[in-house]
Amino acid sequence: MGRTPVGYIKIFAFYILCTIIALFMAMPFVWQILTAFKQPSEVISFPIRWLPSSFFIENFKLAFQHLNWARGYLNTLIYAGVSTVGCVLFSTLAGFSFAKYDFPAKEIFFLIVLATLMLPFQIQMIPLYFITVKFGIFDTYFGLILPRLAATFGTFLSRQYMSSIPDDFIDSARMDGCAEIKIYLAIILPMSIPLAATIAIFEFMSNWNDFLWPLIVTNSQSLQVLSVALLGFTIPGTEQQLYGPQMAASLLIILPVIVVFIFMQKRVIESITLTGLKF
Amino acid sequence: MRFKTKTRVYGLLFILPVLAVFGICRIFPLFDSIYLSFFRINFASGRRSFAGLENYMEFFRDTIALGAFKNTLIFVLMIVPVGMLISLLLALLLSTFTKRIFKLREVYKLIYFLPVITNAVALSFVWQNAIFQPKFGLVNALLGSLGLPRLGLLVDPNQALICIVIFVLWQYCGYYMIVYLAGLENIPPIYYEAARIDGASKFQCFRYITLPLLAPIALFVGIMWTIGSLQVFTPVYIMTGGGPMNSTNVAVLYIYQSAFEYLKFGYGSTMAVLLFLLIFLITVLELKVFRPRRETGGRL
Repeated sequence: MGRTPVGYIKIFAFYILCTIIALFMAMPFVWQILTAFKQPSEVISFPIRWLPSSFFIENFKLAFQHLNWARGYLNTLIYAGVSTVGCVLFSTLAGFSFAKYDFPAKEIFFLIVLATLMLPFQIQMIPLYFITVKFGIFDTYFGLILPRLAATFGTFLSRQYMSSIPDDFIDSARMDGCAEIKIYLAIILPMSIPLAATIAIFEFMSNWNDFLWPLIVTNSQSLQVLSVALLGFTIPGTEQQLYGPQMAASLLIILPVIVVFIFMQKRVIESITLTGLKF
Repeated sequence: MRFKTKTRVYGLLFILPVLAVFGICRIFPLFDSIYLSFFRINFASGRRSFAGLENYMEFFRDTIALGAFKNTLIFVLMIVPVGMLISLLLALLLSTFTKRIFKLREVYKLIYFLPVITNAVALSFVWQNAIFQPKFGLVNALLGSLGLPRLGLLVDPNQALICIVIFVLWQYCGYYMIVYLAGLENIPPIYYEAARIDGASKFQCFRYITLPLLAPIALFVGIMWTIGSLQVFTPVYIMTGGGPMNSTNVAVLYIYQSAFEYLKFGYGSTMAVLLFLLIFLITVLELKVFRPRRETGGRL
């Protein structure tokens, strides 16, 4: 189909608009990267210096000195990883039960699970803190992970998904004398990989970025996740020298997520749209 | 049936982990929060003394708390309409991409979505120190080079909350864009074709097909923006700590500070209960007022 000159101008304007918005959206990231490579004098210079004059990596060195990165990454991985594995297993198991088993008060239990969706985290945080203290799991990995071991949407999605798996698979396995838990582990779970991936991506990302709960439940530095550890960069009085290192440190925290996102964009977006969003 | 009792036992067994986690971490804490809101709790001794409605009375006398709740409502009123509009416009923009250049659309989508999946603490630091920094942050540096007066931004009580609003809009509009986009793609193209045959203009198509069919999604988006904004915490905690002069103090921040910094756990619980009620009431209200009416007149 041929285009008129006006048509071309329209398309051109459309791309310009999309790109301007993209620039606005990406600007903080770009500015952060540029600042991370600037020397302290360049950061505060006026008029504004857009590009760093040299490839200045001192900021990254300082960032490495100021934070125990190995520990931070390890803690965040443990928190996000273990929570995610547990959450996927428990939620799909419960979803399987809600979809395929008959037991008393099933509908009521399911309603209770759904109702938890309406509870904001703020109404839970103070009692949760007391619970962790009482059980002696305050400032431990277990205390950190415990509230993240089950997900409402995960359970709900699992029930929907597993309702569509034909009963024949389960019945024939039972005929062959397969144990119930084995039916779940060896038949149902392998059939539900896309579902598990959807729940896992969402849980992993929201736990990787989580802040308020780790802030409350961890005290010792050896347990801090990255987002809490980053707070250590606001040292009053020395702020000026720390801008560069701060940007470098922030970059080191968000980079892994961005890389994962670029490679799995479709999956991630689908997972987050299906599962909802945690503020 | 042979399997009847067996499935009963296993059925219950399999939901047990989820029920246990929810019971301990969500349902018990809900009732415990309400219970604690009637108590004074001594942190050192752990003693709880019944205080009746004292915590609630304190809330209505506490100007900082009232200010924090008021700021939260102002925050919601600024975020929700603008956020709904921006994310809709972004979705409409991206939905005009033709199939031929879908790859390019994915690139824009990726960029618009990027802030959603990145660490809010890190992003708050970036905006505080690289964008909103009063002396050499990007905003004032640009204003300065254009010869315009500089703004106080985060240190100005009149501008700080707006800065947080801009940050949160930037952070989440990509997410709601995706939600709208999913809604737009669910509208069967045949409606538009039929309308075009009848000679409808582009605007008429938008007004009489897109908008009514998008209304349920818009309601969902509006409610999600509202619930999320009522719970805003991280950017405020990082960027301003509630200042200057409590101008950005919001409900969750003050609850957190009361409980975990001033160790007034009972009072914190009281405000958590009040915030929960507020979220619940506003959500119900939005559902009642904005529930989409059938505008299609039975023609579709």
